[in-house]
Amino acid sequence: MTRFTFIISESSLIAATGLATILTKEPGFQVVRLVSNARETALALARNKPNFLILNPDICKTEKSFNLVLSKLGSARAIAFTTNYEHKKSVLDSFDARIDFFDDDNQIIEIVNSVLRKKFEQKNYEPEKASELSEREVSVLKLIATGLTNKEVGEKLFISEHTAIVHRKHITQKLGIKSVSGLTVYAIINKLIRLEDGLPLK
Amino acid sequence: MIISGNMKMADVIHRQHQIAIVLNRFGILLGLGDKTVEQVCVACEIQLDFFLAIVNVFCDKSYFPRETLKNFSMNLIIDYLKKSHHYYNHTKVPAIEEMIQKLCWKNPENETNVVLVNKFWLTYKEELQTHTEYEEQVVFPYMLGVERVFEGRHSDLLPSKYSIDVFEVEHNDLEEKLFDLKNIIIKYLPPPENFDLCNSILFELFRLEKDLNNHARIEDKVMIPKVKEMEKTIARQKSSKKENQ
Repeated sequence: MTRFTFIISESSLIAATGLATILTKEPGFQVVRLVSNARETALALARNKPNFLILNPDICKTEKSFNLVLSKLGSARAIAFTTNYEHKKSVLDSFDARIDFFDDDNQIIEIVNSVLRKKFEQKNYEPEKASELSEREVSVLKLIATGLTNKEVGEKLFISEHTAIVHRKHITQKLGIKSVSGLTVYAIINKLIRLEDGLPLK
Repeated sequence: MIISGNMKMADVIHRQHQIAIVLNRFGILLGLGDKTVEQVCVACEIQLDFFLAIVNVFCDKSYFPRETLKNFSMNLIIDYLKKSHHYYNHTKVPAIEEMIQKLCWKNPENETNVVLVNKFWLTYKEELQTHTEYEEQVVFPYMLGVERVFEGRHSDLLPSKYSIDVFEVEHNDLEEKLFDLKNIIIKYLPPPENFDLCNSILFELFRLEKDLNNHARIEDKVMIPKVKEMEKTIARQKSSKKENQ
């Protein structure tokens, strides 16, 4: 069975133990550490490499200590555990989800599961995301699609021919289109250039 | 599975249906009854070893006809390759082209796509034709020349400065545009109204790609090694002649 590990970072032992009890009722969920300050949290993250960190932002007394914790997250998902409503939006936005002190057990499990779902959805979409062209690549593509050589592309964009070739290689990798006429078709379909501007496809 | 002469031809097709295409190129028609591969070859006056080499290379990526290669005449190989070219240019390509021309989109805004896909296909078609013409007009005559010198039917040394290495380097990019077209259809083209037809086109493109790969393998594993071997022998004879002079 898939196991998901948790670190709970909360200064109240009662709250932390209660949260751990609720989480471990769900099959596959395992709480590996309870910690109560930012330094311990950062250490535990580095050592235990959990799937989830459930953190009460209040335990980080300074912005610096909060950033330290975030920097040690690695691939862990962070869920905020809030006991009051006075958190800055910018702080809460750093988390994937939020569990409130007054949420019941079902709500808590559902919040964790929704983060898990999001995680896997994102995984599926990763290739698609990665294939988006950068602005620079789009401008290179436009020129290639109108029939310019690598050298001419370089001259137009004030980059070396070598850089133009590298951009072109990335474009080909991202789009899965190798030939110039194929790139022209892509550029026209995506309205980057007009049909009449394209390399004449004969 | 290595296909051998004593297998029933019908069983071979059951197991590897794609060789049906190859049978046509040899002039073997269906309605094979229980005849073995050898019997079919005898009836159609086909050299059995050559037939087995072609079908095995076609079906099995790792197969190489090491033993029998030297027995095949150039004419035999060229005849087979020309027939495959004919199949691509006169059967396969027109069939796909006809389907592509039938693609349509409901939204008149998508009219551009019709133009684009058609034009792209035409560039591919021209590339394929140029490639096959080059083989038939430059490469094949060169290979026959090499064979003539090799067999001592021609006193000259080599017919031209061309060598099969040049061909080996040049013959590759035929699949590039085909791959692009598949990706354009799969990833980027707005779905056309007749999507069943669009799928059929896609299947045909995949099949054509596979068939072209098999074709290229026959060139790489039967044609090129054979020519190289002859080129080497001729070069050796040439240098020993010089030494004698």
